[in-house]
Amino acid sequence: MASSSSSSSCSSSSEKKITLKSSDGEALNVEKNVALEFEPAKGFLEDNSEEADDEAIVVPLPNVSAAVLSELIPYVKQRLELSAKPVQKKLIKAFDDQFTRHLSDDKLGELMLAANYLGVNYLLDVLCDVTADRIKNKSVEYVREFLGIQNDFTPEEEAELRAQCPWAFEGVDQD
Amino acid sequence: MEKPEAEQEETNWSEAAEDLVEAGNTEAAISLLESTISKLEKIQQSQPTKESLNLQLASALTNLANLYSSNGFSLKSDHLLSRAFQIRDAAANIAKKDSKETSKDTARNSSSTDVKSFGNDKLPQDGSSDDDWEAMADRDPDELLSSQGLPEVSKLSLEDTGVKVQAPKRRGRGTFSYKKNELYSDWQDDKSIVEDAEVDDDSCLGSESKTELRHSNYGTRHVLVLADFSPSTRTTDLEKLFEDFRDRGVSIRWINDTTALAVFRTPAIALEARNHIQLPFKVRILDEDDIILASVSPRDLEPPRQRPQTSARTAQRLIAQSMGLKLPTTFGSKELKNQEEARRNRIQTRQKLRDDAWALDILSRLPITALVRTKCVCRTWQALAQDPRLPIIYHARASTRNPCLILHYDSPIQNKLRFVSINGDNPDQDGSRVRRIDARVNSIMAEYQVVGSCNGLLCVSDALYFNPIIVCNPFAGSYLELAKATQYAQEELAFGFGCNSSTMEYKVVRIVFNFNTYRSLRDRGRPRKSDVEVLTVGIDHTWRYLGPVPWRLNPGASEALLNGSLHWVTMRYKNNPGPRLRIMSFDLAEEDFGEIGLPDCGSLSVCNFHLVVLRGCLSAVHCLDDKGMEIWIMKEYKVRESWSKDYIIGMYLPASLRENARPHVEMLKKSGLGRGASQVVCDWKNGEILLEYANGALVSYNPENEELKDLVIFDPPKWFCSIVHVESLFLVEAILGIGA
Repeated sequence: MASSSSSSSCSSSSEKKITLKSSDGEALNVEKNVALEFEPAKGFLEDNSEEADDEAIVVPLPNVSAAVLSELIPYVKQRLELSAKPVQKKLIKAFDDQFTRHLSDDKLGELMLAANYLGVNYLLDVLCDVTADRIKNKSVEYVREFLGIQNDFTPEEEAELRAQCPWAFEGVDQD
Repeated sequence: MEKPEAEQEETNWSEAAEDLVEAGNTEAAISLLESTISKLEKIQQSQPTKESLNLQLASALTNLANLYSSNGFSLKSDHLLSRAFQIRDAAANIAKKDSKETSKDTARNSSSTDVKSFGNDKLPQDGSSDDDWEAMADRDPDELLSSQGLPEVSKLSLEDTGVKVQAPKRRGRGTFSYKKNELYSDWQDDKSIVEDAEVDDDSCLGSESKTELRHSNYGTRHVLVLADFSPSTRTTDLEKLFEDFRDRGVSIRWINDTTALAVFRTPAIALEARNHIQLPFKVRILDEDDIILASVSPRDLEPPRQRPQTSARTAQRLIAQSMGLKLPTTFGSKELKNQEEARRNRIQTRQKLRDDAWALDILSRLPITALVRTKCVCRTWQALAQDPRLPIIYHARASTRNPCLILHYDSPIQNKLRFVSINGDNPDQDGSRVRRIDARVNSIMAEYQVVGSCNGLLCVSDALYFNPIIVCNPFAGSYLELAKATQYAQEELAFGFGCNSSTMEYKVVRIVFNFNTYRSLRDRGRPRKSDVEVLTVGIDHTWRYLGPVPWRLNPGASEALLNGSLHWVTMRYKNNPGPRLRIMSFDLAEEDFGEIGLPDCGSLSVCNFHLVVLRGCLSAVHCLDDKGMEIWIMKEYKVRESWSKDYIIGMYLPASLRENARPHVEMLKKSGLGRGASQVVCDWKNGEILLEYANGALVSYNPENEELKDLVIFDPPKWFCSIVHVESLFLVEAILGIGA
């Protein structure tokens, strides 16, 4: 459904394909309007706007892997279609929920880094929400694991910090 | 000369400005700099070439620009900076003369080997001109200017300003042996970078063999021989003589201590120079068969070339390309370089800000407990959790989420505060655990009442004596004790706490009803009056008496804070004029009372009527005996006709109240905690309305399907009074704008 509507609605502009090159060297073809959602690509395309042939342009995205890009592109594409139509916010929210629900913690982190790098703010917004949701009732240890952070406090320091506001450490969910 | 004096001046104002900035008085520093600049500009108009003055002006402009940019006026600062650059640029040309002189002196003193090695150093650059451009781009602008650094660089900047002949000047005639040819070959190599490389390579390779050819190529008529001048004459002296011809190209080539050649571009110019300039020594036009020719390399006879106009541009283009940026149209390479640096810095700070913002974003979405916990995750997160931006973001986001509830309850020993943040969307789930708050309140007083909550600040007063009163942020653990108020033997107090949003001043209002005044028989029939006192938190040191008001309020806290006004319901008393029960408002900005028309909802009493804010409107809740409650909403503030009965909630008994025997409601009321059997607490973002039943159960009401649902909260106190509160990270001092 998504592909059919895209080809019919924005035929002329989206037919122009841009090649994005991921950090692992893979080239992905995307519609120009999707590529324009990524800030580095947008800047790159503007800088090279005198090039007549868009097809020839290869936009390097050295901070994003092909695996992440291939998740991002369909999302951005569908999200663009959704926001082009006068749809309710609920629909967009449902779409976002559906997108994020099955993301693993690792994937979530990767996507967040990519969305930050690419400046896709609406996605970053959603991802931040999901992340906050996932860690908000968890213990400190769980959060460390979740974010892959090393504990750099000494046991004494940590004990002192915890003693400052003991109420915050009561009744957290089981990891 | 005047220089030391000028420098003295400079240090004076720059030090004064620095002192001012350090003292935090940026405004004064700015005005000082501005006056300095205008003063300097005036002097500069009379002496436009005075170098120290120009530099001073430039540095004053730069300082001012920095101050502006630190104050956030980036446009102004950019403008000033570019002016400073222009002046520096111009000053640098003049400075060149000076530095040239000094460098010449040093060259004169230095040994010939030094000079030689200097020349040799330059030679390898022949083939690697591209690298040199890059190296140059990485240099500091000041370094670029300095003629001590790279000779070709100094030439470059000279190019920019259109001065053609100064390049070789930096060499003293010194003690080098002319025939060794190093210096001049190096000069040629330098040239090759800027000029057409092919021609010069050619000339480098075959310079010796082509000697004859070259002589005939250029002839000798364009060369003037300057002879028999004083040995102390310097290149500059000679050049000064030919100043008028500078534009048309002239270079000085030394033969020995008392002989030099002035090479012009054409014989005509040479002739003109000879005729026009009075020279204090012998001058003649070089002949084809002059003996000097034998000791002169043919290269030296090459007329000074008019550099191609494009070469500076080309240089910039090369630099720009290697740095991967677009070339602006009218900037010199120095500015270009600076711009690029600024751009890089901007990008870096933006990236840093963005990375932080991203982490802060997550933090700002966490409930306050989780946020406090993240401090223990690692040092980075601890730092992030204390980022000064976080309270602001957190506060801004607070308007998009449900407020938390502070549960005020009485334990056997003392009053306590707990809080619960209930997620409106799925209230049965996370967050609905009741948690302790480590409010300092408990260490100050044992029995207290909550006067009000506003923007994350909680105002609490002693329950028995109404002193002390404190304002605190229970989550930041900071509090402020307010000035003591006058105490009467038998008083009844209505309180109000709120914020005047236009001035962001927080005020506490006390409306004191003194029983003693009406004790005697004679006074019993008199209309009831109360005294009003107000205190602006963090500003007033004493309570201000606003005068008496002709009514008595329902004691306790203000029921609704809306539109910068506090709202109460008055107690009924038959001798007071007007309707028996009135809604009074107190404007926190104007500090005066107003009255709001009642909805048409039948017989009212303080016990069955209370105010609340729903959907951003003043709302009145009328509890009907055994029939539930009606909720009236005042759609337009202070427009009596806009009251409309929007919700009718049927009688309901929450499950938790059915089983357990509960303390008598009236008892709670007396302790200042309770307001009635059932009441409306607040509305949620999803449109549901939160109700509190008999100080012991929370129920959510869905207006769409009129369903009532018991809220499960873990660990609730047996009975409590709930206060709507916004979670905030601000310290009390920060919100009030005092202290820290």
